[in-house]
Amino acid sequence: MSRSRHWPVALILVLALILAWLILDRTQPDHNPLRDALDGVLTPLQYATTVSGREFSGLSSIFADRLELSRENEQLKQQVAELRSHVALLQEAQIENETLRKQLGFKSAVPSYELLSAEVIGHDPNALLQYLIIDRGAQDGVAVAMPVLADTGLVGRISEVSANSAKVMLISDPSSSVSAIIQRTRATGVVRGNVDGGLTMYYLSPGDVVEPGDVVLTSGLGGNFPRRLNIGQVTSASYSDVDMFQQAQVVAPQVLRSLEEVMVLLNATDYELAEPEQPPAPPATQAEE
Amino acid sequence: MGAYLAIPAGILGAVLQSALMPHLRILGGTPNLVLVVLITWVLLVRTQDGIVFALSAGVALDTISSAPFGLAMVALTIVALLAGLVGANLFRAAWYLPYVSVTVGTLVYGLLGIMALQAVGRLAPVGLSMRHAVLPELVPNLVLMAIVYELAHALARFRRRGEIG
Repeated sequence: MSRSRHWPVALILVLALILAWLILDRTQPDHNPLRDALDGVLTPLQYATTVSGREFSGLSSIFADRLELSRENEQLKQQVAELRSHVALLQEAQIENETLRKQLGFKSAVPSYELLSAEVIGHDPNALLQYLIIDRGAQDGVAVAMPVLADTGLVGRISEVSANSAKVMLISDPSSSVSAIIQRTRATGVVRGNVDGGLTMYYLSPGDVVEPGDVVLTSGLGGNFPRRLNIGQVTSASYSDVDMFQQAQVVAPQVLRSLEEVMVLLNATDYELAEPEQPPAPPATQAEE
Repeated sequence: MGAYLAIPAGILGAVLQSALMPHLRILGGTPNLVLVVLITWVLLVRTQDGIVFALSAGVALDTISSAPFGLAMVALTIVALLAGLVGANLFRAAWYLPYVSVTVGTLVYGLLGIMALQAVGRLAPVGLSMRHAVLPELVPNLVLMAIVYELAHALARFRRRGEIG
C-alpha cells in the first residue's frame, strides 16, 4: 500500500473511534465503555511515567550540595523540636476541650475522618485548568464531591471518577469556591481560585479587620467541606470606598499543583457542622420546688 | 506507515503531557509537548499524518482533561491545518519556520481553549488567561521546539541518506 493510502485509513479509524465515543457518551453517559477502556490504558501509563519521572528527579537531587543539605537538616531538626512542644500543648488543650464539651453536653468538635491516601499520577494538560489526577477511583470507594486533603490542609474536591482514577478540582481553579472563615476574627467569606493559580477571599465585610498572616479555614457553611480545614494565610487585603466588600489575597501552605500525595475524605457525608446539642437543664432550685 | 504510527504516538504524547511535562517548568511555564510534536510532524512529514496525530492525541487529552470533550481534538486539528498553511506559504528551508509555526500554534490553541471554556460558562477571562496561562507557554514551547525539531530533522536527514546509500 502506498504512503498516500495510509492516512485516509488511519483517519477513518480515529474518526470511527470518536463517533463511537460520542454515541456511547449519549446512550450510556455514566459508563461509557470506550472511556473506561481508554482510561484503563492511560491510568497505568500515567502512573508509570510519573513514578519514573520522580525517580529521575530523585537521582538528580543526589548531586545537590551536601553542605546545604546538612544545614537544612539542622534547621528541620530544630523545627521538629519546636513543633513537638506545640503538639503536646495542643493535645493538652484538646483533652481539656473534650472534657469541657462532655460536661456541657456538646458534640465533639473534632469529627473522626476516614481518609484514603492517593498518589497524584497526572495534571490536567490544559494550562487554563487546575486539576490533579489521582490513582484511586470508584473501586476504592471514591465518589464525586468528596473533599481532598494534604497534610497541610485542604486541596480540593473530587470532580470526576472512573474505575481506577479520579480528577480533583483544586481550590485554586477559577471555578472553585469554598466557604471560609478567618481564624482570628471569625470573619466569613468565600475563597475562590484565580487564573494564575492563586487564591482570593471575597465577600469580607468592610468592617472586618483582616491582616497579613491571618489563618484562613473552611467554615463548613454550605456543607461542601468540613469545618476547620486549613486553606492558607492572608498575604494582603484590599478595600476601596466604591466596593461593597473587601477582599484578601490568600496563599496556600504549599504549591497545590506540585503535590505528589493527597488524601480523600471518604466519609464526606458523615461530618457534622458540630452544632451544639441542647445543654442539660440546670438543676431546679429549692424555691421552685 | 507514518499515519498508523501517529495513533499510538498521539496517545503517548498526551500521557507525557499530563504526567511528565508539569514537572518540566521553563521560565515559569510548562511546555506543550503534544503541540510541539504535532507541528514538527506537519512540517517534516505532512499535514494529513499530522491530523491523524492531532485527533488521536486529542481523544487522549480530552479523556485526561476536565475541559469540554472535543476541545483538544478540534484545537489540535486546527493547529495542524494552520501549521500546514504556514509551511506551504513560507520557504521550507527557512530556519524560522518551526518557530513561527509554534508561536502561531500556541496562541491559537490557547485562544480556542479560552473560548471553549467561556462557551460552557467557566471562568476564563481572555486577558488574564492569556497573561497567566497562554503566554507563559510560549518560551517553553520555543525551547522545546528547538530540541524536538532539530532532533527530528537530523533523524529525517539520516534516514534519507540511508535510503539513497
